[in-house]
Amino acid sequence: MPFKIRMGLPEMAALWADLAARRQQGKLDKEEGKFLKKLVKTLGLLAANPRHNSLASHEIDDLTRKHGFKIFQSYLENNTPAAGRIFWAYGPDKLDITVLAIEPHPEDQKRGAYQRIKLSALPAATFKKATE
Amino acid sequence: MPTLVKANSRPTVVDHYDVAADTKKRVTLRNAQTKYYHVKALSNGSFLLEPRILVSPAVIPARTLKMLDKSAANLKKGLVSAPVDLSAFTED
Repeated sequence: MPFKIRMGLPEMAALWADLAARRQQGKLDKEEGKFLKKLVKTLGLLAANPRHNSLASHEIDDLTRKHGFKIFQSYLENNTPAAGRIFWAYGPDKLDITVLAIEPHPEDQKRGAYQRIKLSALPAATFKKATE
Repeated sequence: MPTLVKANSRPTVVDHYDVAADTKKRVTLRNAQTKYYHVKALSNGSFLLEPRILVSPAVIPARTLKMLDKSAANLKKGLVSAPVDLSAFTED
């Protein structure tokens, strides 16, 4: 595979290691098994070809602007309204892809779990100084 | 990448120029750092523009965004995990 997939957080690496180990022991429950299957498929496609059609990878401009390097989003599932997704970026080395975040299932808006990210305002103190 | 001015630091002038409004009374910002601005029209004819950063076009839950921010900071420092081993799953 041309790309090496790395995890951006120790917690994600630990989750991966835990799921893989428990799969070997046959101790995954149904939901975990489903999730791992999707994740393995997605990471496999990502390693082979980050632009694979099934991933529907696309850059998130606002996250790119925020962090200063290109951040992409790919889907864990197809033809699903609330598809899980992963966020990733190229690097740190050539032929490396780092998974920045995994969202197994977007949380239900009805439960108020979504906290919409709104346009940020500068702190009031800055505004006062700027007008001086 | 948009730069935000820290609350305690006084903004400094990095550029100044004259512009003419076009027939529709529009002016163009040069080297604008962000896509969105909040505009305040003052009574003395001045306009004050404050940058606004749209973090997420689609909704990204705060928890995921926090995870993403931490990972991005790690990636910038080159702190990432060892490559994940997908070979164990290839027979599936």
